[in-house]
Amino acid sequence: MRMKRGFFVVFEGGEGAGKSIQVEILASHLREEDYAVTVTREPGGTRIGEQIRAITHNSENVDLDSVAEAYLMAASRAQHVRELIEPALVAGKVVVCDRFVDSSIAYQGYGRKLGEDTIRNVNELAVNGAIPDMTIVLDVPPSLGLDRRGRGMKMKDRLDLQQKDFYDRVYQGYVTLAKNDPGRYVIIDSSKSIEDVAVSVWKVVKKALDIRNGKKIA
Amino acid sequence: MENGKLIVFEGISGTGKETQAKLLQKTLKTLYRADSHIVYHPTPALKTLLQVWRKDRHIDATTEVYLLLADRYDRVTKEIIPLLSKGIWVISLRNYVSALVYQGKTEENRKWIAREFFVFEPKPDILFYFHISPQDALLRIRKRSRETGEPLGKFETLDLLIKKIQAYKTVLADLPHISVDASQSVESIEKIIRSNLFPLESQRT
Repeated sequence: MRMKRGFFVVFEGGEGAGKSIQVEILASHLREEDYAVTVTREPGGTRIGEQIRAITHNSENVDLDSVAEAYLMAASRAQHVRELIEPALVAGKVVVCDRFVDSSIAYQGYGRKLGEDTIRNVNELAVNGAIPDMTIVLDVPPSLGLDRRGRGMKMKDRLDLQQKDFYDRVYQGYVTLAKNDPGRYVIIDSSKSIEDVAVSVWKVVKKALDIRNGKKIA
Repeated sequence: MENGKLIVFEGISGTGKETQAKLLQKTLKTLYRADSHIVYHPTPALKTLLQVWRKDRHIDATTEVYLLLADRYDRVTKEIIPLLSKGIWVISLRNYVSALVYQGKTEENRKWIAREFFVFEPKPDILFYFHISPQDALLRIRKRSRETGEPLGKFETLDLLIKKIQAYKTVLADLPHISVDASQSVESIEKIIRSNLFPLESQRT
């Protein structure tokens, strides 16, 4: 199945929300339905982006200033949009992305208190009009998410060294974003099992794609 | 203690900015007993990274803008402002003007870049713009490349030097600056810079 312009789905959520696994499961459902799929992530997604990610996530860079961090994230995003996301959308693919600009708003804007507007302004040039068609927020309380992440981790990166109130602010950031734009955001309770979450994700994405493709919805 | 002064040297490659920065540093020390420090924009580390990523990874100009912002923000907050507040003069080889000239593709684009830099970039006390013909600049750049082994940069072609000189004229039209004819001898240029710094020095005493 091929569309004129692709469909851009982004997964967002705090640590341990289960984004990576849900990205994989959704991509696999989409492929089964014959969609051309591009799976990617932020920060990263390109060779330049992955090198920037190595800087922002390196636990040795604990003194990395939050403003410099915001610029680096935007640098990675600018390259990502131009090199991978836009070309894939133009080619009619479904782009499934693990984190996008809302992560910067939640983490730098709310978590590091730089402000939502500041981060939006910083990212204006980077995003270049690539607004997600759907943003799925995997909702898990910070305490449960951090507990899940701690159990599955061998090494801690720079973001893992933040205090709990930082993650509480990040969570509130996502809640605020979703509340202010219910048309684009879908909140899914991610404290449930991986399988249950995957069913909910597929249901909303399939419905959106069917509508886009002009199918009648029962 | 009075703050130090921020002096910025701008211009295309091959105009002798670094040579004049080193001479000015000596002048400040010997004639005015002022400590000074030279900063580079971009920093040498980012300059090297950009050279590699331009060659091997097709880095987008917008990505470059953000890396320049991160790099300059880091230098301004960790080096330039602390030095100025200690009364030390800072000679900056390029500032945000270069990003406007080299990465700003459109007027709208340049406005956005300027707006982001203005959030943290201190206003220079004096901005010197070194200008020279693109042909002369290219001869100097090639000579330097032969002598030092430094590879030619992305913008170091005659066609791009011509375009960037035009871009400097556009960007600097609205900015206070002192134009310096960089085709003159090193000594003559040094004199021009010194004479323009005297008013600043008289304010200090």
